[in-house]
Amino acid sequence: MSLLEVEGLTVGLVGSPYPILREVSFSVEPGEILALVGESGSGKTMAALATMGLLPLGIEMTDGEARLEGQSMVDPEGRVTRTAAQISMIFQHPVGALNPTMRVGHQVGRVIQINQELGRTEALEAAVEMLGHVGIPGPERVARNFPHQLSGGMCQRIMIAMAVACRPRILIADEPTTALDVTVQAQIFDLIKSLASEIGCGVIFITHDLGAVAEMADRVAVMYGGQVMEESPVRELLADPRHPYTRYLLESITHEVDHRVEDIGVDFALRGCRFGHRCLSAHGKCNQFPPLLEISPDRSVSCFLQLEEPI
Amino acid sequence: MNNEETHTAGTSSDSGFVVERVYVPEEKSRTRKALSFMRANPLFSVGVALLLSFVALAVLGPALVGDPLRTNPANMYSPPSADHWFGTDVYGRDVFARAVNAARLDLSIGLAIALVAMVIGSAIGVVSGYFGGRVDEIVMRMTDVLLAFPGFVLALIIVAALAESLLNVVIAVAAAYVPYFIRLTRAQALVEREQEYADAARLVGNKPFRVAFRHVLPNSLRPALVSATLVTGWAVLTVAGLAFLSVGIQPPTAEWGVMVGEGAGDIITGEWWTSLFPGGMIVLAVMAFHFIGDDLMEERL
Repeated sequence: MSLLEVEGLTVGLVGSPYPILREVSFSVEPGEILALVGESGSGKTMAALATMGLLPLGIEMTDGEARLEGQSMVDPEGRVTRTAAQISMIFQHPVGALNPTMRVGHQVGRVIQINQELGRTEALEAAVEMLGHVGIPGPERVARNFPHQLSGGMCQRIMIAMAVACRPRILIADEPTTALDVTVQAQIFDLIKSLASEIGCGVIFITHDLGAVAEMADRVAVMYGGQVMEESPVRELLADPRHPYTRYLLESITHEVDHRVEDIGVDFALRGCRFGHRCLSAHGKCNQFPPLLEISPDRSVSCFLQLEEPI
Repeated sequence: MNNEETHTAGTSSDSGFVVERVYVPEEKSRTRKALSFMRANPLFSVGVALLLSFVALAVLGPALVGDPLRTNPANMYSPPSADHWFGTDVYGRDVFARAVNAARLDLSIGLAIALVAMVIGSAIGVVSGYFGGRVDEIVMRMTDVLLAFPGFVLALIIVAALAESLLNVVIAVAAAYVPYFIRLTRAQALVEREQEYADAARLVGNKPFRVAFRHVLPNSLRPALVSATLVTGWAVLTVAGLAFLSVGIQPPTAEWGVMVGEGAGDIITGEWWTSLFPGGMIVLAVMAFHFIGDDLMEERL
């Protein structure tokens, strides 16, 4: 049994027959870093939000389940029972994810106060300690600052402190460095990695940067058009991509692309493979939905080309 | 001749490495900064100056002038003079002393009304905006009904329904402005509840009411705070207006509206000072709040 199992996640606009996410499945083991990779709009963030039960207004989960240690995170009445001690999240825009009218020390302290049942002052002390732990110089002073007084990198460190303060089982990092300087990126990656191994939590790392994936992740799930195309250990995926989309994605970095795809929109009304109309290997069967096929114990690909007898 | 000379002087420096302009940040003194700010925002500065004088008047004034209620039948209707700057009224009371004492009363009432209306209105507004659904629907329809009445008429009805006392005037006028604050705060709360920090606050396990009041409310207060300055002005006007109609604050209390009401009849007989001066004070006070509020609202500062 994996630490987190997401199975057949299907998410759509309320009242719309066309799903935004279609049967998304992935799993995370303790201490493992799973990268969700894909281009903008491929459903990476949506998958993470659905896992947390934080879907925006007007979007609902129609099918599927997310289980933490075998336990569903939604009670029979449909209420979310997840706590911050189970899953927490690092947001994309650190400055926007901190309350502008509250001192950062209190924001971190509040998390500790809620989840560890400490008093206000003890929680604040623990928060200051936590701030020092995520590499903030002079944590006593910074704790009294408001978010707008701090740089983006500092705010992201504070977000990370908030996220790991209650030692979650799963940490979701949604493009944690896109809003930051390149020089800060590596530091943030290292910080997340070392904290995750220290706590022993699983990490879901959302990104579109394959360089970051190679550096950070143990396993990768490649997403396109709200569908998981390929799930695999990172080395094997980079060495031997099986899904045509993964191949194109890797080629796009090394500039080996020898073809241009004109139409880059995703047709959500499509019944078949959502990459079908861009795929050069597409064939007759691709107008049906490709199931996630297991090609080895830890790799699966959602493509008919992986069948024993291709058509 | 002169022109040519300057021309050649200009070109000669082009050939050499002569630094013609060095940017040295101008060291501005505090007074110069204040002066340039005032030049850029004249109305705001006038408003602040007016408001500060009113505050000084309200705080210090009553101790310096005489008793606003002391009558002097021997000296009724004396025109403005060195002894009685604003003249005296029908009972020989000093109009200046009354107007200054009224400043304290009117400003405190105006502020109290704006504060009460803002606190209650924002609290209801944030609940309505944050939780949405049924609650929001009910609250919004109720504010629609209340907003359909002009604020003044609504205040008039409420004061008339309650017993006449200072506290009831505050309650009535504040109630008239509550729907306004509900709307303002609700609109902003709708924006703020979708922000990532609100998500983050929910995520770490804060209860919904805590997220609404500790996270969303402080960030939704801006429009309400700005409007509170305007509402303070309107509240002064409304209270004075009610008093003028002999609703709410009653004579012989020194209050601008009461004074205007009492003095209105005197104009026909030529004693213009009994009503003009308190009336002018109302105008200046409302103007002060309006100038400040207007500039704050347009975010020119």
